Amino acid sequence: MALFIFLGPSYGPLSIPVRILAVLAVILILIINFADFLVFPLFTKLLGISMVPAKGYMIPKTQDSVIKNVSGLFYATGYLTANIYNYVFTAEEMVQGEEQDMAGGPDKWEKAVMSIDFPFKFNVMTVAHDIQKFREDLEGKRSFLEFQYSKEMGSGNPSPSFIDELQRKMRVIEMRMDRLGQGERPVDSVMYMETTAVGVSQKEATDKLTEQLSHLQTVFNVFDLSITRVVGRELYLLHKYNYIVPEIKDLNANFTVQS
Amino acid sequence: MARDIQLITLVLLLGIVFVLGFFISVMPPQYYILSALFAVIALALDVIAFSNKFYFYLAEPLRKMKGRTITLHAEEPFYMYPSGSAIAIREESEITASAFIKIPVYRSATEMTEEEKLNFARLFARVVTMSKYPMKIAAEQYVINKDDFIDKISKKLAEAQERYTAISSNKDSPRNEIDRIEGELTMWHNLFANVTKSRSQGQMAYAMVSATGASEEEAVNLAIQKAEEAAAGISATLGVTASLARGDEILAFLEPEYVIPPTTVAEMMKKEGESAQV
Repeated sequence: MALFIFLGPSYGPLSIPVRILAVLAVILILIINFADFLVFPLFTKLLGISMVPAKGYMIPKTQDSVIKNVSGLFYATGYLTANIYNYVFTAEEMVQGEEQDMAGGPDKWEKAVMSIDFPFKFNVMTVAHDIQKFREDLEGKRSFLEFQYSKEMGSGNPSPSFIDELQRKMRVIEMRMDRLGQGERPVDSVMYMETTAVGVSQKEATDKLTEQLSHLQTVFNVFDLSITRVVGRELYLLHKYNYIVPEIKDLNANFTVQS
Repeated sequence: MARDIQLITLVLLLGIVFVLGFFISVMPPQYYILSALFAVIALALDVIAFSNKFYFYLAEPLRKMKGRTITLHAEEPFYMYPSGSAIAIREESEITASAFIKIPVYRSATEMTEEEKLNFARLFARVVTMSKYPMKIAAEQYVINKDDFIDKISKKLAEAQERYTAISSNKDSPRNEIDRIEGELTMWHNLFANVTKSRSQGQMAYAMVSATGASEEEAVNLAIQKAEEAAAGISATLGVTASLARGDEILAFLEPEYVIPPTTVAEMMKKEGESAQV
């Protein structure tokens, strides 16, 4: 629609402002869908809007923490994403030294935890796929790729780049089937960390929270995680997921789910 | 239900946008002001339609907004089920219950061989990939609750202080009795100072599952059933006795004042304040 308004009919002397608005609308739609963590807190900060996610709790206008006041003590809770980006079930080849990495996990965890002197929580939300169905899907995809491959090879002038592409896709599927055979199960997961700080004022609690989150970021870097502070819309959802484990479709709709 | 309304809203908004677009395209050039107005409305609706995916939940609270506060949920975040075995969450017409499984893991990596560490990591990965329904597994570090202990010591301290004041104000009191109470007072003082000197922390792991039902009973029973299944799987995989958490144990996973107990922390803060002044 914005494109139609931009390229479409003339609006007389109002053409330039309308076209500028059309461009701004496109930019806003893109930001809302791909970087809403920038827009939403800005919007609440400018308008001074705070939120009440449940009785007794408050999300301040900065949209970076959930505050609870208990008999004059302020508890500020904040969240960090903690996705393991080097783990990919969709990888073409197994990462070298994956077993050593796994064996090092318990040690790294204990060392990390020993250096943390405040409360925190490491959360993994997960759902496993049905292996049988997953395998059947993979076999279906492999058969289709093999058909495309033989068709391309049988044609008079096969395209080398297309052949390479098909071979790569087939290797990925083979790899995934091998991993299934080794007992690995495909899962969808969302990982995040949570910490709570306490203070006699809201500012003290949120300042301490920021310190704690930075400390967690530093300490958990050894795990090769993608760690970012959660601000905006997702903060409310993570607070809600303290009490409810969401359905996978809700997770997929709101977070980057790892497969 | 909410998802259906969200979809209907999206279709409705986009429908209005296309109708406006149609009017813009057939409008004679002399009505350019009206065309521009339609264009601006269409753009605004476009933005609303495409932000609907993430911000639909804000539509109703925004309409009811008072001052500068948006109330997303006016009720308590959850209710403890009377049996204490699960929590219930009421959202509009939907009732969801969540049950919790304690996972007691007492082994440390320092006492494991390389092979045992790898096995442990593999077993943990198996636990994570065990459930066909969504499950949350969490490891929590919390401040050990010394509230009761602190209360008990401060009461004893106050009693000893009272007795000391009474006995020392009486000139006829025997010297050895005054000394004894003075010693007791010092003991309680020292104990109080030590107990609040450092923050003691504990760790626990737990899993959580949820289920939705038509009534609270149905949701709770389903959640407990799922939790029992998960507990059996976790116990068999990790070789531990995973069991369902109840009452205060559940609150320790959810409420910040259970993660950082107020009296324990308040005493520590007082101590920190005193040492900063010195």
